[in-house]
Amino acid sequence: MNADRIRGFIQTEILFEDDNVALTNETPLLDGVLDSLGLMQLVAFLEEEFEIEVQDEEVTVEHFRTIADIEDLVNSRVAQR
Amino acid sequence: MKASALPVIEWVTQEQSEFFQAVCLFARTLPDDTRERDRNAEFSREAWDRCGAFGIHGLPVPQEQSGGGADVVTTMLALEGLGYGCRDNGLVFSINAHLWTSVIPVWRFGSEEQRARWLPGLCSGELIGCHAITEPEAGSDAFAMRATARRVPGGYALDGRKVFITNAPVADVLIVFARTSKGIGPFGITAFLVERGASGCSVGREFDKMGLRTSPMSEVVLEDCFVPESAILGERGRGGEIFQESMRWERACIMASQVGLMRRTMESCADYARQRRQFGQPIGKFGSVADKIANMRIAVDASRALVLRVGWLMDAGRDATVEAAVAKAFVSEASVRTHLDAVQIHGGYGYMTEVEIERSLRDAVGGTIYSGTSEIQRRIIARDLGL
Repeated sequence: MNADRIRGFIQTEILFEDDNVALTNETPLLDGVLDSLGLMQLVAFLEEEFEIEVQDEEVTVEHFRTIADIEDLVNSRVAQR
Repeated sequence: MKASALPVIEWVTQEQSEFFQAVCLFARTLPDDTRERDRNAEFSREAWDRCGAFGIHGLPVPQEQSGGGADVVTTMLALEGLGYGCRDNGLVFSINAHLWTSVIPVWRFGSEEQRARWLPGLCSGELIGCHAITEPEAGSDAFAMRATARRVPGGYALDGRKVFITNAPVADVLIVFARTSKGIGPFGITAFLVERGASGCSVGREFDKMGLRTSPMSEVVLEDCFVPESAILGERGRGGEIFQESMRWERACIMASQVGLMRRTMESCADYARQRRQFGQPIGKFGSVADKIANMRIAVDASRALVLRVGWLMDAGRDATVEAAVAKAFVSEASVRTHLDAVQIHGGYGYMTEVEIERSLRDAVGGTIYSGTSEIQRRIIARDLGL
C-alpha cells in the first residue's frame, strides 16, 4: 500500500513519532502537519521512493490535502512510467 | 589588552589570522561619520566602494568568476574583522545582505550569461544587489507570498508588493520572488533578476528603523512589471531552492560581523572601566562591572567558536542547518546582552548618542529578527531534537 509508505514517512521524518497526531488517510495535512520544510522533504521522498517526478505545478492543495490525495497523485505518476 | 592592539585568533591558520588582521586594519580606515548618518539614515556609498575595492563583496566566489576565492571560514573571519573595525554596523549589514541574497544566488544558480553579466559588478561592489521576498503577510512564513508572475508574450509580468527589502533604495539589480503556478509552500515560486529602473518596478517608501539606520530599506512595488524569459534565475518554479540556499549562507555567516562588533564593544568597556574612577578607584575594580566585561569575553569567544564551527562544516561539505541555527540564536542574543551591559557600564554617558554604544545596542536588536527570528531558529533546533 503506497498510503502506508507515505504515512510511515510523515510519521517518522516529519512528526517524529508524535503519538498525539492520529494520522489517517483523510487527516488534513496542510493544517499544521506539513510546513514548507516538511513539504520539501515529502516531495523529495516521493520522487525517490516511487521513482517518479513531481512537477512544481503539481504540488497543490488539491494533491497534498490528505494522504489519500497524495496516494492518488503517486499512483497516477507510477502508472505513467 | 589595549584597544589599539589588533585582536589575535590563534587557532586558525596563520594565513587566515593575517587576513583577519588585515581586514581589521582596513576597516578602521573607513569614514568615521556614522553618528551623523545614523541620525539621517544615510547610506555611505564611499565606504561601500572602498570595501568593494578591498575585495569584501565577492569573497566566497571563485576567482575565475571575479570573486576572492575564499573558503567559508576565511569569509567569516573577514566579516568578523569588518564588524570589529568598522563602526558603521548598518553598512556591514548591507554588505552581508548583498553577499548572501544576491552574490551567492547568482553564483550558484545563474546561467553562464547571467554570471558573466552580473557577477563582476556584484563582486567588485560597482553593482549593489538585493532580494525581494518578504511581503506584508509573508514574513517568517516567506513561502506564503502572494506576488505573481504571469506569462505574457516574451516573458512574464510581475505583480505584488514586497516589504523590508534591505538595499532596495540603492540596488542596481533585484532578485524578485513570485509565484508562477498555484503550488503550495516553496513550490511554484520563481526567482527573477530585475534591473533597476525596469518598467513597473518601483522602490516604495523607505522604512524608518530603530537600528541599522545606515542600511537602506524600503518597499518594492511591482505593477505589471515586464521581465524577459532570460531573467529567470535558476529553473522556473524552483525559486524556493534559491531562497533556501541564500538562507543557508546568510544564517551561517551573518553573525560573524556581530562577533567583531561584540569584541569592539568589550574592548571599549574594558578601556572605560580602567579609566573611569568613582569612589577613588577605577570602576573596573568593582566586581559588578568586571563581571559584566568578563561575560562579554565569554560571549565573544563562545560566539566565534559557534560561528566558525558552521564554517568548518560548510567547508567540509557537510550540512550545518542546526549548527547555524544554534549560532544565530546564541550570537544575536549575546550581542543584545553585551550591549545592554555596555550601556549600563557607561552609565549616563552610555545612554547618550555621543558615546555611540546606544547605537550599537539598537543595531544589535535587529540580529534577533533578521534572517529568521530567534523563535524560528529555536524551532529548527527543537525539530532536530524530535520535538
